[in-house]
Formats: sequence, C-alpha cells, structure tokens
Amino acid sequence: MFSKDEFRSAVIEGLKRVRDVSEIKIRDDESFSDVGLDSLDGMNLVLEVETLLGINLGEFDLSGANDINHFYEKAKEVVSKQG
Amino acid sequence: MKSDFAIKGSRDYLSGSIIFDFIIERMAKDPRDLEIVFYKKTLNNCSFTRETPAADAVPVGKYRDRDGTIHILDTPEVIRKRVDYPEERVVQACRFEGPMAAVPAEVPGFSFIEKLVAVYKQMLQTMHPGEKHKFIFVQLKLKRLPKGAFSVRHERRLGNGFFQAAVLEGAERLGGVFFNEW
Repeated sequence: MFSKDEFRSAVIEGLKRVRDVSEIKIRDDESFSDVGLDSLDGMNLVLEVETLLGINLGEFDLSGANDINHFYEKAKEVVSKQG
Repeated sequence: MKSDFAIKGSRDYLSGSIIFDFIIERMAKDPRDLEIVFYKKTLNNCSFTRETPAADAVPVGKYRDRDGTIHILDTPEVIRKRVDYPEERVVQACRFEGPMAAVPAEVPGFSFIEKLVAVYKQMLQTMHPGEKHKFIFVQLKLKRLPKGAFSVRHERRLGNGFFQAAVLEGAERLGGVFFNEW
C-alpha cells in the first residue's frame, strides 16, 4: 500500500503531466478545479496516478474526491478492497 | 495548415476521426507514442500548427507523438459540406463477443480510427440500451497504430461519463481509447 507522501507525489507529478507544466503547487485540501482541472483532465489524472503508483483504481470517479486528501482516502479504500 | 472538412452524415459536430485522419495522413505518418485529445465540439474548419498558439486561439484539441505536438485550433469558417457516412458497414464487418470486438484489417472505405470509433460506440450503445446518450470519441493513446486487424476490449467506466477501452493487436495492448457520454 502507498503512503500519503507517495500518493501526494504521484498526484503532483500527474497534475504536471496533465496540465503540461513544469511546476504545480496545490495544498492537500485544495480543489483540483482550483488549479484548472476539468473533467477530462480529472480522468487523465486518475490514469497518471495509476501508472505512477502501479495500481488499478477500477471504475474510479474523481468527482467525489476533488482534492488530494479525498482522492487519497478513496484510492486507499479501493486498493485495500482488492486485497 | 488549414482543413477543408466535411461533416459526416447528420452529425451536429465535426468528428474527431476526421481530424485524426487529417493529421496522420498529412503531418504525422507512422507515429509512435501518439495521443490525441479533443476539448470541444466544433462545426468549423480547423487550423493545425506545431507552433505555440496565440493567447486568444480557441483549441479544439491537441495531438502529440514522439516528434512533438500539433495544436488543433478552431477557425471562424463554418463547414458547409456533408458526406454520407454508412458507419453500420463497420459494425456489420466486426465480430462482437461480450466486452470484446474483433475488427478486420480491411473494411473498404474506412480508416483505422473510423473503425475503432464505430466499434466502441456500438459496444457502448449495446451496454446502455434504451438510453438516449450520445457517445463521443474524446481521446486516444497508443504506442503505435495497428498494422492490420485489431480488437477492442471495453475496460471500464470512469467518472463524469467517461469510458475506456483497450486497443489490442493480438495479445499486445497498444493503448486505450476514451469516449464521453453527452
């Protein structure tokens, strides 16, 4: 299982790839839409985090997990259910 | 570079497959690690540039491969032409089995992307019978284009109405195609 720090790093790297920028600053409780993510970007962020962490989040819906804190909790729940 | 596109059938938008074919035929032959994404629907012709677009440009989409990025931009020129588009011919030529579809190398008159879009759209419509959703091709990510026959495997529904399918050549996963419901 990934740690919160590993997950945060993956999200930030994923955000940089999705937004095509070299640096991005976001707090754990800051909404992804506040840094310019639309729904398509959100889907791609899920794909990037899966690749970076080597996990499969299945039918994951980022709309209910729109910041790092909630994304982490939801991803952790999905992965732990997979055993 | 500017386009002179035609709208397919009775659609109320310019098909992403037309844009993709334009790029592959004229600007990015035999691409590797390719990705195309569409941001908005349009009924206008598009311009294509490898330069960074002007700040007031309206992006329709973006194409990327190992050789760089092509920006797909909206123009004010409304597309006046329409062409018949018998997409059902693709569906008839393919074999559907549950979440999989086998697509032959040749369906006369249809490109790779036209076959892929027609097949996955058919799969999504079959999975959602009676629903009045439109399923639109929004993104493609592939290592390379298949050389001939390929298959499509529905993988999952993601949030916000997105759907993902794998594109396979034999057992090799070449990448994924993404649709959105409108």
